[in-house]
Amino acid sequence: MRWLLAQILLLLTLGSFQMRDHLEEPSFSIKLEDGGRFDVYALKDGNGLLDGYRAHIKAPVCEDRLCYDVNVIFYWNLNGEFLRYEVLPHDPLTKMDHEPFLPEDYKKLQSILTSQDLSFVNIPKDELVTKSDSSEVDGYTGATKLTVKKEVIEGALYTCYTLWHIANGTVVESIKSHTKNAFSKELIRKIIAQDNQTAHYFLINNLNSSQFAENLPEILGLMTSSKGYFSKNTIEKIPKTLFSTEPLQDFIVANYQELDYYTQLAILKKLDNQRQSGSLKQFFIGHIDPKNSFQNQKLIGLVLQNIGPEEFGLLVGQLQATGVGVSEENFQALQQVNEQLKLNISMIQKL
Amino acid sequence: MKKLTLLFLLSICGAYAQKPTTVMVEAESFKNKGGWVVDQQFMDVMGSSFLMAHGMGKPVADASTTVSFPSKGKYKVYVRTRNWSSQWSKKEAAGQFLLSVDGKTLPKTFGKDHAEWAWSEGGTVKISKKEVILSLKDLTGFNGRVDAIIFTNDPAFKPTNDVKALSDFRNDYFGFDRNPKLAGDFDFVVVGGGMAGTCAAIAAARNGVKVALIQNRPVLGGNNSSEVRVHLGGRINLEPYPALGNLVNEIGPKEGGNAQPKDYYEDDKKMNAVLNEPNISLFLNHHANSVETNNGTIESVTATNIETGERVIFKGALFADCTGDGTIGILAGAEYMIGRESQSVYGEPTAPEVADNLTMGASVQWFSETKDTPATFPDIQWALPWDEEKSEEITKGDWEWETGMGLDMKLDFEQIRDYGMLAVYSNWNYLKNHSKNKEKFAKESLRWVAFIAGKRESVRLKGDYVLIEQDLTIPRVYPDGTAPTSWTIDLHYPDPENSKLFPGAAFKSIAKHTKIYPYPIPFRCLYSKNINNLMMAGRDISVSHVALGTVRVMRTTGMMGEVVGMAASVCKKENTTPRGLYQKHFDQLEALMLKGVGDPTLPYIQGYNNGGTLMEIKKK
Repeated sequence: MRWLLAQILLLLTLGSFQMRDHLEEPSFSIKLEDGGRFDVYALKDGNGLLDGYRAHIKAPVCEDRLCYDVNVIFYWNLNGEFLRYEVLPHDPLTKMDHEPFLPEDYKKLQSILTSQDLSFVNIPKDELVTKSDSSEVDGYTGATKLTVKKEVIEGALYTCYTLWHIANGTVVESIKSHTKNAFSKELIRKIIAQDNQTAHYFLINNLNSSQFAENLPEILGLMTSSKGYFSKNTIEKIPKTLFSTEPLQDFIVANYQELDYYTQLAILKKLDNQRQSGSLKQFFIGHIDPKNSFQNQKLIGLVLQNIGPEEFGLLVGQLQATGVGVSEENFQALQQVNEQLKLNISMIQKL
Repeated sequence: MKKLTLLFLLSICGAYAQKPTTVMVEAESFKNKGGWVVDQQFMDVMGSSFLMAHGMGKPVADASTTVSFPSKGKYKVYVRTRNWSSQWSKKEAAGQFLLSVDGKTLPKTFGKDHAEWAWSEGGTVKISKKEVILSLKDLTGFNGRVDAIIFTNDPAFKPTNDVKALSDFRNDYFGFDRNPKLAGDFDFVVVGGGMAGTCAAIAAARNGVKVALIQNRPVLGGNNSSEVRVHLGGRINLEPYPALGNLVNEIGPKEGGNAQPKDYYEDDKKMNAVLNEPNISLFLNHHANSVETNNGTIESVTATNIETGERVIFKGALFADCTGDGTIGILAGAEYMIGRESQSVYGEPTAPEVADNLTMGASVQWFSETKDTPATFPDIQWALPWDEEKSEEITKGDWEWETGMGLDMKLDFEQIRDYGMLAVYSNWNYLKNHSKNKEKFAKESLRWVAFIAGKRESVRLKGDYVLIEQDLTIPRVYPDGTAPTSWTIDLHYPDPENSKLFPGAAFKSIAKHTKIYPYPIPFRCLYSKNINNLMMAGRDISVSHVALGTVRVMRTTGMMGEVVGMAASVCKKENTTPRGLYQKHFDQLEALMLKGVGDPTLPYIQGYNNGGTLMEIKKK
């Protein structure tokens, strides 16, 4: 029964495999550690835009002392994340003693190949098994380490290990650089439209200055719906010069309060020595508040850079109204500006 | 002439009106401990550290010492011990031993009489010389234990079984409490030498702070030491402070794995890192157990040497509770939390509807080795009832050999540890002597069983903020974020299968995980709400039970230590409290956290047990 299910699964995967391949082109090839190699094909969508990658893998694997060639098709997305695999008809994956994979083994292999949280993949190949002669206890020539055993398919340790390293090995960087070289406005927009933060990270880590400038509104849009540290990292990646532009400063005024603390800090750091619009300065002055004690000195220092008389008046008023104290360094800057403007700053407290 | 007469009179008095003599010997002070180990884990409850014969079924080598008697003659002997296995089995006691005095073995077999710690009468001995050798002979190899031995020729004297009264007696007898030695006056006193405390001490020392580090074991590392053998967990070098964790990387072991051979845990690496810091005074084998406060400020901590019983005082400006158990906080009167909060307290989705006292448990890990020839294991009668269904045909017990959930991690800890060992011995006894597959285990021999149990949770000290589940899952970050926690919210529960087989007394656990983004723990969780100069790092920080699920792993507690050590340097410089730092000088701590305290040039070697996270970018 199980064998039958496995066969059905094979036929299903075979079907989808045969339907592809009219929109693909050979792109590069990857060398395997043991000297073998495989070719990677770029896939295109209906609009002729890059859509992902495919490769036919043939690699020798030895489980215990029995060796065989695994024969599978792998798929990756545009930023090199492994997506899925297909098995060729009449060439099922096997475990120790040439036992064919069961349906649950195929399922588990999919979850192994897509996981980045496994510890066994970080162990050198020759240390996966403890060298011991106690074959009786678990039936292996050497005993598989217990932590490893929990993560892999029993009897298919080296299949899992080898395939994971192919799926998540050097091919990932090659895919990334291939996609990067193909960056066009359309392709970038396509990646932005994907609901995949890893792909968005791939973008901000690889766009050049002009690509950032060209796609700035869309990239800023990603930040407002992002999770984790994406918005902080995005701010850190956006070229500094773009911070003096109007769209970016408008974005800051509109969204600053909704952004998390670390993104706010990253913004203040990026604005250092950049020209600030009057509305941005006024926004920051309004933001000086006893409740924001962690940011106040950074805000005051920033606003004081190239400040005009109108904003300086506002700043002095805000400091007097809120009673927020001023650090030694900021106080000196404040006095310096005031040498020309001669406002009454005697009410401002020093920290 | 007058002098001579006086001497004569005095000597007559001495001979004819001899003062009754009582001699007390602490077992843990024995000069030669043979194969016996010093166990201090329960001294706050039963009154003392003690010697234990942890032979995993093979009697350990004799312990011996020399005792001076002020006068010769007949003495009654008392031994403070207990029959630890009797609470689970009425059969023959697990731990039994003999005492010999001056080469003559007393007829009495100790360790059999009473379940609780109490004095066993050992009969009478004749002391015929001033210096006499005592020796302890283990009979079973199964954790017989001796706290102290008393010899008395005072017919009116009977040693007390009341822990408080006994403690007073000890103090009067040895006089340690009257003359505590001053260890010194420090900027920063760190209590607890696990990953958190060790990192706190080093981080402070490297930032110019004079530190005392107090640890109640002979090694540093706590749960990551070779005494407990839990590997480090969680990630380091994360957003928003990628330099935090460099010290954990510097002093942590290269190899991962729980319950592995001793070398895996690299005790020396941690020890040398501390010894290389001229600003740290290290006090190993010292258990801190009293605190002097003045108006909510700790002035000093006093610790007992777990071998000699001597008392040492540590004065300081700032203190860190890195004990895991909140020991210093509780002694100082700090507010604390214990057990599981109900949903109504913080509105946590994972919290139970009704609060209870369930904590995560403590692990007693173990493993065996394969010998060339068959190895025997005593067919123990006091084992838990066992059968094929209960039998676990394995050669290593990992973290999930966890027990004590629902018991008190302080008051009941000896019982918890002992039950953990009992489960290990019971299963092993079955495999070796009764299993239908016992042939498979014929050459297997127990190599290591922990006697220092690995605790996950006990008391959490309350800070200005209590971190809760929603902070982690939404996530909701605060401006005073510090060390990022990245491990899943990993909460342990009794294993349902094991609970069916051992109703109400499971010794195995399961874990439930919820992934999170690396989350910077607010600084307000790292200092006490009501003790002005007390910080915390480790599992006893200010978090809910649910939030403890993520922060408790040791790369994370190590990073908390880094932060608390840095904070100590800011407090010193600004002459302020941790709360003062939060309110006025957090930018200085921020700058130190961005800089880091460990060697940033070292390669990242700790690829093991990083755990799943929702993080997108690998920093290192």
